[in-house]
Order: sequence, then C-alpha cells, then structure tokens
Amino acid sequence: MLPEGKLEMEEVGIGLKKFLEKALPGLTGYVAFSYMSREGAKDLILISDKGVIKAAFLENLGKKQRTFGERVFKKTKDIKKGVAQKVSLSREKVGLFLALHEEAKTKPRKLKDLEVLGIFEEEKKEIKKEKKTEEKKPLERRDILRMLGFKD
Amino acid sequence: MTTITITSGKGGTGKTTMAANLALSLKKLGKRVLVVDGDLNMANLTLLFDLQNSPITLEDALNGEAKIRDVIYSSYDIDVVPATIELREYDLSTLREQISKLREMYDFIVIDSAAGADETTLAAIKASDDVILVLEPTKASLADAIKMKRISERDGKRVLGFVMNKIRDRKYELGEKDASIALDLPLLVSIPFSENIAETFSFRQRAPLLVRMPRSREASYFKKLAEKISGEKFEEKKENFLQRFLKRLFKF
Ligand SMILES: Nc1ncnc2c1ncn2[C@@H]1O[C@H](COP(=O)(O)OP(=O)(O)OP(=O)(O)O)[C@@H](O)[C@H]1O
Ligand SMILES: [Mg+2]
Repeated sequence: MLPEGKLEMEEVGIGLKKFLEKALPGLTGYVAFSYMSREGAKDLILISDKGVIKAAFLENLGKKQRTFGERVFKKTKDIKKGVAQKVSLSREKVGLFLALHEEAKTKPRKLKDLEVLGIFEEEKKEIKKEKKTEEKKPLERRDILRMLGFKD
Repeated sequence: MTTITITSGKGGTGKTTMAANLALSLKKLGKRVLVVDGDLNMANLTLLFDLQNSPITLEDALNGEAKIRDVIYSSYDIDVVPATIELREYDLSTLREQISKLREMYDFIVIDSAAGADETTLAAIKASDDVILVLEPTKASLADAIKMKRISERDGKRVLGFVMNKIRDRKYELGEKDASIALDLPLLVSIPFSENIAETFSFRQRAPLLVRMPRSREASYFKKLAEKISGEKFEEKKENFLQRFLKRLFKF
C-alpha cells in the first residue's frame, strides 16, 4: 500500500490532503499533531493502515498551512473517529517522534509501540481490554500437564 | 534438624546460587548450617566458596578414605563440604549415610544437586528430608521440575515448594501462577534476573551475594526464603539517621 522510496517533504507544499492522496493511495487513516518548537509550529503526521503505523513525518508548516492541515484532516472521511486529535507534546515525546519518523521510513511499526505516548486513546483502550482478557484466563492443571506432554 | 536438597532437573536455573545464598541466610538467622556440594561431577558450589584447592573432599569420604567430619571446611564464615574439581570415581551409595552422620551438628544441611535426573542427583535427593525446586520461567524448566517433584515424592521426600528464578517480566514467560497450578506446589519466592546475582560467577572470584551485598534487594529474596523455611524472622535493624546519631551521641 505504501509507495516505494522516501516521502518527499517538499510535497507537503501542494496541500496536505493532495499530498497524502498522492503519496499513499488507499490510505485508511492518519493522525496529525501540532506542537510549537523554537522554530515555530510543526506538525507531525502519522500514517496508519488498519492501526499499523506505516509512516511518520514531521513538517514545518506556516500558520496558514497548519490550519489548512487541521481543516483537511477533520474533513477526511477515512479518519477513524477519535483517532485524530491534537495533543501538546513534551520534549521527550518530540524526541521519540523524531526517532520514530526516521524509523518509520524503513520499518512499519505496530500501534502498540505507541501506546506509551498516550496518543491513540480509543485504540489504547481496546488493546488494554484484549490484554486483560488474555491474562485473566487461568489454565487448569490438567491442561498444562497435557501441554507439556504428561499423560496424567 | 533438616536436610534440604535444591534441585531442578533443568540445568542452569540457579540451584547452586540458591543453595549457597539460602545456607548463608539461614546462618545469618543464627542457625547452625552446612552446605554440601552434591553436584560431584561439576562442583560449582565448591568454586563459589573458593574451595577448589581443598586437599580432601566429599569423594574421599564417600570412598571411605576420609571421615566426613574431616572434609568440612569453613568459607565465608559457613561450613562447606566441597567436591573435587578433577574427574573422580566415587561411591554414591554411601552419601545418605555420610550426611546423616552430621545431623546432630547442624540445624540445616543444604545440598546442591546436579542438573538432570541421573544417579548423582538421585543420591542427593535420597540423602535429604525435604526438597526445593528452582525453576526459571520456561516450559522446559516446568516440565523438568514436575518430573523432579515426582521423583522426590516417590522417594518419600517432602517437596516444600518452588522458587521462580531469573524473572524478566516478559509476556512470554511462564507465570508463577501457572507453574504453581501445574506443580501443585506453593511458590516460595520469586527472584528477578539480576546483574548482581549474575556477577557471582564472574571469572574473578566473587563471594556469594549474601556475603558481598547482604543488605541488597536481591539478598532479601534469599532471606525471605530462609525465614519461610526456618519459621523465624530477621530482626528489623533499620535505624534512621536520627536514631543512629542519638545512639552515637549517648553511646548506648
Ligand atoms: N536471578 C538471577 N539473575 C541473574 N543471573 C542468575 C540468577 N540466578 C542465577 N544466575 C546465574 O545463572 C547461572 C547459573 O546459575 P547456577 O550455577 O546457580 O545454576 P545451576 O542450576 O546450579 O546450574 P547447573 O545446572 O549447571 O548446576 C550463573 O551464572 C548464575 O550467576
Ligand atoms: Mg549448579
């Protein structure tokens, strides 16, 4: 689903929506975050495909473009409810995002890995529920012994 | 007086580490304690207590060439029966009898056993009253421990429970609960994987953890086990700064 090669940052200039459509046909969702850095407003965009982060990039957007971007992602039908949200990011998070950005170019990441960042509130809850049901199922003695190959 | 053998089936789970530190903890509780290197072919406990140069060892006693009392050495302030580092023939059939000769001298005799379920391990179990299983959080370790429990009970030994060692808190690890259900035994203590413990067997001689870091978090796990086994508690000697200061000031 992802196009080969690097995503060209300059392309953001043609408008976020257009850019995303061009770069990622068949896109199922994305999230954008804005935060203020010393250099001014920056946006982080995470592209997800069925919950798997496929790409992340960070862009310097002027004030105009930023509001434009926000408008765009609010309008985009593909965005899952509750996924797109604005958060203010701490320095650590920004650092993490930057690392993620570098990595995401080559390595798709699981949504789970982002849990700690407190981004995907809705999905996070779902994951937690899954985990709990997974853990809360104690095995019977007989089952464990069988699993290990004991007859009785 | 109780003789306890530490065993696991699986190799490398931490039997020797446990035998040494449990014995040292019991000693700290004021008990008369002996620790025996029952892993005669691979005498790691002997190395841990720095007794690899002992002129006579457990094998001499087993072969009737020395008295068992004469192969007791003192290391780190505790009595130890070392085995030889060299490969040697020995008569295992006398192990139980030899150990029983020392019963009146001690409150606890802790025997370290070999991995596997071969004759050396079986002899160590036979020589004991009680058994403690040391597991690491893996499927293989659990399967082996179940077998060792069966072997021990077949010999009429009381299996006190199990220790879960080297825990790294990973999702894929065998949980203490599942292990307890499968073994039908109580968990005596959980011990995390720790660099301080791993350091024990570093190449340069390092004393057992209880000697090196007696007040560490890791030491507290072994002390807890010693408390459970002896039914006695370590005195809370924690004084705060003010108490220490006042004590020094008034010299009481
Ligand atoms: N909780 C722990 N954390 C980290 N390392 C540990 C821990 N327990 C034991 N070890 C290390 O694991 C290694 C094996 O431990 P040990 O020799 O006590 O196991 P063992 O069961 O006696 O092995 P064997 O079956 O060979 O006799 C040693 O290097 C020891 O320092
Ligand atoms: Mg050992």
